[in-house]
Amino acid sequence: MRLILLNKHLSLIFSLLIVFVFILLRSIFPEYSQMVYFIVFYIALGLAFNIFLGFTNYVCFGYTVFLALGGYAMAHSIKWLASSLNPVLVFTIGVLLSSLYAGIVALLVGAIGLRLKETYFAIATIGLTQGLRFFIEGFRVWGGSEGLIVAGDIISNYGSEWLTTLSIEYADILVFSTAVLSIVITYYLLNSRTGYALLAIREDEEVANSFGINPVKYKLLAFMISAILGAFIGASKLLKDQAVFPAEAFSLGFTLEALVITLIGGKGTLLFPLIAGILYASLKYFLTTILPGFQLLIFAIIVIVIVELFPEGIMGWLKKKLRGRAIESILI
Amino acid sequence: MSVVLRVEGVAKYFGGIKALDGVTLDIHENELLAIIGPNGAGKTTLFNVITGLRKPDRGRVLYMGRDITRAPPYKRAQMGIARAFQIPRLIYNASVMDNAVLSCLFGGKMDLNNSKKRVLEVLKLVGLEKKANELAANLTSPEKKLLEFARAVAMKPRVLLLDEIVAGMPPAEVDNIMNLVRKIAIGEKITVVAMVEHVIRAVKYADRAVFLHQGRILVEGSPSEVLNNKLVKEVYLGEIIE
Ligand SMILES: Nc1ncnc2c1ncn2[C@@H]1O[C@H](COP(=O)(O)OP(=O)(O)OP(=O)(O)O)[C@@H](O)[C@H]1O
Ligand SMILES: [Mg+2]
Repeated sequence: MRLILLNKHLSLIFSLLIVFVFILLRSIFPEYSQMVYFIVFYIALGLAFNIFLGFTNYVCFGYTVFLALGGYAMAHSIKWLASSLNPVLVFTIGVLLSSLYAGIVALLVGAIGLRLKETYFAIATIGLTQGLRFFIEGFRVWGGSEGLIVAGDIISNYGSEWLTTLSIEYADILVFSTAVLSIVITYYLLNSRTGYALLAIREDEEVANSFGINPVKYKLLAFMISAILGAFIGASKLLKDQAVFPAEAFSLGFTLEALVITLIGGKGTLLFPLIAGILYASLKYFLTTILPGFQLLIFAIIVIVIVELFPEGIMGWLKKKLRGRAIESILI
Repeated sequence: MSVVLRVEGVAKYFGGIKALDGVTLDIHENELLAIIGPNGAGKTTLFNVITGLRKPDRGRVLYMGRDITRAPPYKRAQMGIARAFQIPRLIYNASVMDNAVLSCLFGGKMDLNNSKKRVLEVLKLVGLEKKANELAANLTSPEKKLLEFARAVAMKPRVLLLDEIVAGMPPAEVDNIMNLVRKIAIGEKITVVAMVEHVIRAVKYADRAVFLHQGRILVEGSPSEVLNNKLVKEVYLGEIIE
């Protein structure tokens, strides 16, 4: 018990330290800012995704949707407000709007979906991606199937130097903050009353329910937190790319990447998914620059090897077979 | 004596099986009630209906005068109904302490500090205090059973439902456990309902006993009345006494 507790504190300190090292690296060597962003992006993605998967055993195959919604929210803020407000305010409102979009969608989907068993929820969320894409492509405010491009709005209202500032400084600040926030929230969940509730629900929902825990409430909480953090990541990506396109935003891409990170790192913990995020990002960065086109093949091989070595892994997520073992709670 | 819990004409069917077939039962304050009956009599199903894990097909459950038939399990727990499962269902990768803390935090609505204090008290009572920091998975079967019991007691319930509390225990332990149950029933001023496998040995600790058979309450009375009832002897105890 003491060991577990010590581990939990240590893992918080280590995790924050790692992110701060990246921030430091970036400010000392600005030429690496691209790479650092790339890595911290996947740290944040892995942790944010894990807050839902790891603490509840539910897989949301529609997770990309929340990144997309964050992107659209930031794009809306720029399109609607850039002509009347200064960029800092527009950025802030964009962040708030992205939590609103993602929060509402997660609330609606979760309030219904989280009453289902893990497997059915996973299947239902695949439908979510398609449904929301259909919805967005049909409406003008969302830019239809052409998406939303905001570079022009930024240049015409603030000048081209703000294009660089938003895409380098603000995008980075947002993704760094999201990583730190994800770490702090994960730590809180591992050590709080809410964490107790989630642990109990994950292990045996009927037992949790029988001892005074409202399962839907806590699962929904984890889902909404995870969704909102995902939206922040998406908002940051919009600032990087200055555009969001439905075909890309609603692909399964980020969900699968987040799953691979969780597959490498294990669930419900702090330090391991974080290190997995770094490993995944570094490998992907390396492969896309050195061996462009081969990264998918190599990742496929990695996934196969992991699944071969831990055959219960993927199935466990879907079937709740992979119940946490002693080792899992010690290796926080 | 005031009625704490009332089960009124409850029926529960699984396909063609009548697990409960019109059960009416009053449970009073400070009463230790034993529900006895052969395998498949409907005891566990009755507990599931009282705690809300199963909705009855007919009938109502009243708790302190309130109709709770539609209330979800977690609300009933927060109102003071606790339950120990027949086959222990613990959080196996959490410590013994954390398993019981959980029920104090949520069912008992205590804060973390008070929960821990309370759990230590209860663990001492059942003799598990030395294992407080052990993983629940590492306990022996009887210890798991005791933790299941301690978890339910810890939240200071008003109604404590103990499903086969002495089943699988060595006969020598039965008296110890039943004494403990008795002590808790009186000391904590809560209503305790127990059902027993070592019937003859355990039932005498109860104030009252009912005999459940094929989903119906067939006999009701003092423990000795129920044990000596002709029907009970015929359909149930006959094979035990031989
Ligand atoms: N989920 C279920 N699905 C189908 N039948 C069930 C279910 N739960 C219970 N039953 C049936 O209902 C009847 C009552 O079962 P119950 O578990 O309540 O009996 P019990 O008195 O607790 O028996 P035991 O001494 O074996 O614990 C049995 O015939 C059982 O097979
Ligand atoms: Mg039973």
